[in-house]
Amino acid sequence: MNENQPNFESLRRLLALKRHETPPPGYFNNFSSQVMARIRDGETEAAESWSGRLFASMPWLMKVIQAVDTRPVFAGGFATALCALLLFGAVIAQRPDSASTAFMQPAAPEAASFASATPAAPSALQPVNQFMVADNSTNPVFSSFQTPATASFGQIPVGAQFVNYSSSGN
Amino acid sequence: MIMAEPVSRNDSEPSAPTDEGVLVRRARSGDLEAYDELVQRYHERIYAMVYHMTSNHEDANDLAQESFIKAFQALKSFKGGSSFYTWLYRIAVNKTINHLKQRKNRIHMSLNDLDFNAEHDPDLVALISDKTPRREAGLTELQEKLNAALMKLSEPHRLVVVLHDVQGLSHDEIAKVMKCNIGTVRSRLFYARQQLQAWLSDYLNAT
Repeated sequence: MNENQPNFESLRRLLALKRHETPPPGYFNNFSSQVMARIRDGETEAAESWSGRLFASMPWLMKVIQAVDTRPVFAGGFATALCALLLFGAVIAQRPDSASTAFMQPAAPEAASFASATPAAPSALQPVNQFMVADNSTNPVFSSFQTPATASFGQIPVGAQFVNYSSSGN
Repeated sequence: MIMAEPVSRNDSEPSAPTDEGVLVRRARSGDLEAYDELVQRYHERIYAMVYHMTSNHEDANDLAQESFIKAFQALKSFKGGSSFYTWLYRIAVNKTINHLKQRKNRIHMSLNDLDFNAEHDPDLVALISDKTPRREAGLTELQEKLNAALMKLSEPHRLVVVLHDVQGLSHDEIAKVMKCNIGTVRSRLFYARQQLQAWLSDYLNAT
């Protein structure tokens, strides 16, 4: 592995071309003054005042940012995970029997059993506007009365007729 | 003006090794005039190295300036184990490689013009000879092809070619700058040259 092999000679000559690439005339006249001005202004100090301290206290954060920056697959993975989490949250929120719904309506099961046990409750005997009940999300007890299907053993809790129990009959 | 002429350590440093030490000590104690002198001493070489690594004048300008600013801020940590020149080079190299990694696949060349001397450079005159397959190619086209080929190399391989074949640093100096052994420098240089030769075969004569 001799680097002075003659077959690299023409390449060496071609690389000489790089030395003739020069910046615009007068470029270096202002270079050091610009550097010194930036040092005097404390430009970098100001820029690093918050970020520098943050990265100094949490060096892993810099590694994470560099990893995401240099490998777009990490950024894509993070975005996908975030979208999946949002989608999962949306699905869970729309399920009626989800834990969150039960949490929001703690009185519903009790009210349902109460309704089935007392079919002649005055409020249950009245026709209920289902749309109004549906809008009234702050009163779960009413919402339970509109669901006769919750009554156990196939009872019909609503729609019962008044019965006259007076003894002065036949 | 020929930029980044191959640097011989005998030309660049021995005349003022103590001066540099004095300047560094003064700069470390906050003397901006001393640091200004250090900047003026090395700005062309630092800019040239960054420019040849990025093939972009604007990036080279920013990175070279930031390297000097970073070096000033870190002067207190400079122990003097290596020369200021090597230490400064290392800062600029690290900044440049970080920049290139962040801009991977987003390469935008912004090449400087060739100076007047290019047409009279004996190496280039010899290159554009009858034996060159694409001898009709002008210097500007050669410049573009050469830069494009360099940008195809990995950063460590490109750095070795730039430091050795363009800037004229020795293997030992490159090893110090890159913090690797000389064998690694040699093998990288050999591989990089092979790659460049293959990519630029149309523009190289058959000698």
